[in-house]
Amino acid sequence: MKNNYLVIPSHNLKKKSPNVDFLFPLKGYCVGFKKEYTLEEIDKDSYVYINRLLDSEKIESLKKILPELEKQKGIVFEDLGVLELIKEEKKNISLIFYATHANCSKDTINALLDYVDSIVISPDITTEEIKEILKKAKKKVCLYTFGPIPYMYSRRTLLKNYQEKFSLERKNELELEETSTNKKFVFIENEYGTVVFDEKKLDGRIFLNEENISYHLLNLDWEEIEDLSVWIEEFEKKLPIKNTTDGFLNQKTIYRLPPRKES
Amino acid sequence: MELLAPAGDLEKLKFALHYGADAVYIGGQNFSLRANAKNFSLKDIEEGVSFAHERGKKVYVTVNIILHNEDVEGLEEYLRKLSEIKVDAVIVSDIYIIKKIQELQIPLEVHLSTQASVINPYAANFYKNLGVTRIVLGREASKIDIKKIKEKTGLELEVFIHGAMCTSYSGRCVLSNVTTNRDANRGGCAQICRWTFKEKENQIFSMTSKDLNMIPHIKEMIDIGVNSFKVEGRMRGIYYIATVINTYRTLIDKIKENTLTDKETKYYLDILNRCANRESTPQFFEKIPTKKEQYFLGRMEVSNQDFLGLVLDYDEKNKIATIEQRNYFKIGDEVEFFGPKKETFSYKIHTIENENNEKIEVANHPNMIVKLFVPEKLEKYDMMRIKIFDKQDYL
Repeated sequence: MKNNYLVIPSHNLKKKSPNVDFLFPLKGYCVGFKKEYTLEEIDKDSYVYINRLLDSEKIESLKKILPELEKQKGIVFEDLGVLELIKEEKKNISLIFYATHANCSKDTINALLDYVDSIVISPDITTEEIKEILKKAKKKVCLYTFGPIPYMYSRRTLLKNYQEKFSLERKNELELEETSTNKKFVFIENEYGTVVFDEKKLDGRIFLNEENISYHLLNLDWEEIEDLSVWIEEFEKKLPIKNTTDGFLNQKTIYRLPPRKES
Repeated sequence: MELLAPAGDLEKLKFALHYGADAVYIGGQNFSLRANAKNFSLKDIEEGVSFAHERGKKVYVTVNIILHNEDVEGLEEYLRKLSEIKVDAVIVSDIYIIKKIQELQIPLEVHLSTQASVINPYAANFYKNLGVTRIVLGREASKIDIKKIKEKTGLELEVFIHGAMCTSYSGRCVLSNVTTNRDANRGGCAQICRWTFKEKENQIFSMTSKDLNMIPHIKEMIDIGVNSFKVEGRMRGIYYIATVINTYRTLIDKIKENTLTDKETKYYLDILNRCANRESTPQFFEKIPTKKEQYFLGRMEVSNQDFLGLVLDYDEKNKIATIEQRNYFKIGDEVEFFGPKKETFSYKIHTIENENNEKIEVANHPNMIVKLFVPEKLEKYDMMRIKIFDKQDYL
């Protein structure tokens, strides 16, 4: 089966390869990326990524650039206000909804698919849960198959605040360790907030060739890739990739603690 | 205009309403965040709703988890039961639940949870078109956002005014999932943002937010059309709930009567900060929070022991209060009493008697029953606390 890819490009990548559409994080409307792109920098016939939750002022500014976005292949977005704006403005734009941590069940996803062309399944759930969604989704969906795993999105500038507090050199990217578990996280920040990622990238290649997937989303923002064709060929051959993890694919979470044993 | 209180169990629900809340929000034992709180059985919810409705007040039930495939089982039956019990609304974030209520025509009012983090009018309109009647705004909504959302949608707006803050946008954090395997968006949050981090050899720090406190902006919030003023804290105890709700009730009523002074406002701020044992700020209302709105080095948080006793009875003829002890107190202590619609008053303890009318020097056993001579009239469920601030000093 041929896999189609929606690729957030690495900073040095320019040329597409077969079966690939680019997804460009739009400058001013995204958080958690090392490289963002202005409208002028975005290739024609691409998807545009808007992953910020937009305040009232920012969503009005988005309205002004909708004619430019309409010329592109589509939008991937996190804030349902974007969907409503596009409906109100009667724009014909292909829409993919990616609520990073909320697209977690087949029922939720089918409810959302009444309004959008596709959705991206959240990377917070298990292989078994994803397979069930792929089986039951009423339209083809997208899967976050490779890239940094986002764990938290804050409107606060957490790095700036920390560095100002302790008079440290200002950096927008930082690796920090949680002190009780020694778990390492990567923080990436811009003026619109901070995103916390796993230090390792998700490798979800077990889903290659699965049915009902419109795009495998590959986030190559942290990579140094010049030839995408070669990288994808190796990716599909499942050659090892450094610093990866299976994320939540084999880690079922709980939410109610078991009762304490009587001592 | 509604003052909305948290209630983690039936006792807290009753105290919240008694101390002046117009409505409470509660969680059932399923489909709600705070999965490890005591929460309400359906029987408890029914009793809570009856208690509230008899007093002309309301109960909202949170059904605000992010669903996984396995979580749908039993949902429809649960929603129908809540409708039969006549809860006043359910607070929901997952779109499937909102649509299911409409599709099945279950007569339930739906409020959108803060978990959806709505901060612009278009997102609010999306949910309005699904039948949602009220939006609990994201805590990141600014004054401008609130105003614009009200103007464009006309929806009822519920806004947090007090309590703990997430460091992240609500619903946009799974740090707990990866660190402790507990799913934050299904009620298992282990509050990793309050843990400590370090950068190589640099200073250990936390990214904990200070609490929210909107006392200085309540009037503005009323003016821009906020309908419901929400206090956070379903895990909090009755003393915290009584103090916070009593304070905001007094404040809101004084604003409505146009009798609130700046000096009084300062007094109420001090009372609330003391009660939570944390600093608090207005956070996102006027600006993006800076380093000043965060704790970096953790908080040496000691439990608040200001709550000395709960009034169980008052003998008006002999001016004897029967009090259930909650923290150590002794003869000579300066204390104060507070209660709903009551001006707080100070009192120095002269005598203490135990249940057998024997004179004692100290009340040192948890929940022991003691009797105090108190010249001013008290009501059942008034509270006695250690005297820290004297209102006269502020006037």
